[in-house]
Amino acid sequence: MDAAKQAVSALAVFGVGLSMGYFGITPPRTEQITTVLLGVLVFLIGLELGGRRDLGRRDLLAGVFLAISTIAMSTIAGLLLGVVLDLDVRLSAAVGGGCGWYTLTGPMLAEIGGAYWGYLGFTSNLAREIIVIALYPLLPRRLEFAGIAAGGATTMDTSLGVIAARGRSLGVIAFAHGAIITLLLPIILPLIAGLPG
Amino acid sequence: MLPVILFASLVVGYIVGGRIRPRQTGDLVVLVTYALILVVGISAGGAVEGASVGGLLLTPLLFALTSIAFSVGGGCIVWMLLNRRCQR
Repeated sequence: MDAAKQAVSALAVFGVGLSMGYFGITPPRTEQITTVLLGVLVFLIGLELGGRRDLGRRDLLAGVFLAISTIAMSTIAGLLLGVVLDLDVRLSAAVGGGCGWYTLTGPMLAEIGGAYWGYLGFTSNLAREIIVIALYPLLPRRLEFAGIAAGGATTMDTSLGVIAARGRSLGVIAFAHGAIITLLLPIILPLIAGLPG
Repeated sequence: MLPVILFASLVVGYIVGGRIRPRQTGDLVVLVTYALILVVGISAGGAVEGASVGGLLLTPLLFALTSIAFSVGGGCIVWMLLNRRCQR
């Protein structure tokens, strides 16, 4: 499935869920179901990453630096927006720090901060993915390395195609960047959201 | 509890993946992903009632755009640092 179709399908499924919730069709034990599904998702991602051995050292290094910067800057962005909009600063930082991984950020924040934060975590990060897929091909050449950071965790899957289309080397760095964020976020994000406010 | 569960799942997945080198986990990931999206949608559906348009549409867009701008800024700094290092 290509990136655009995947984003549209995700929106459609989210819309179905939203309508079900709005009309009161709610399955019992939603929190426990979310926890189990998150655990399975992260296990499968770990399984996939554990099986990859095709990254060069130089690209990996560039990916590591870029990934650390992406997580830090995205978290700072969320934090600042939380202050400006007068929202819970920890949860806002976690929304920003989600780095485009909406299937992790949404359910996790729903469990930690409640339904509205789950909604915000999901939609903000889905919007980030859609914007990157739509706008990355239009970036000027001098911003194509820095632009990888905009994709966050999605640069190892959904937005990898549009990045790799501009150069194989960029594609490898993008994959390393996304993979490192994917490895770090399940550990970092709950810590950010759970920090004393 | 959640960080512990996720960390353990990730580590176990990574170790198992390194040993058995799975060929195709993509379909399962997609399935679990959609199940998660549905559950988030359901729980968000209850919160939507009575919320303002700003809260529902503008706030997510603001978060998305701000985090994109900041991370690209960080990317520019990393790019400059790496290039300077390569030139030496």
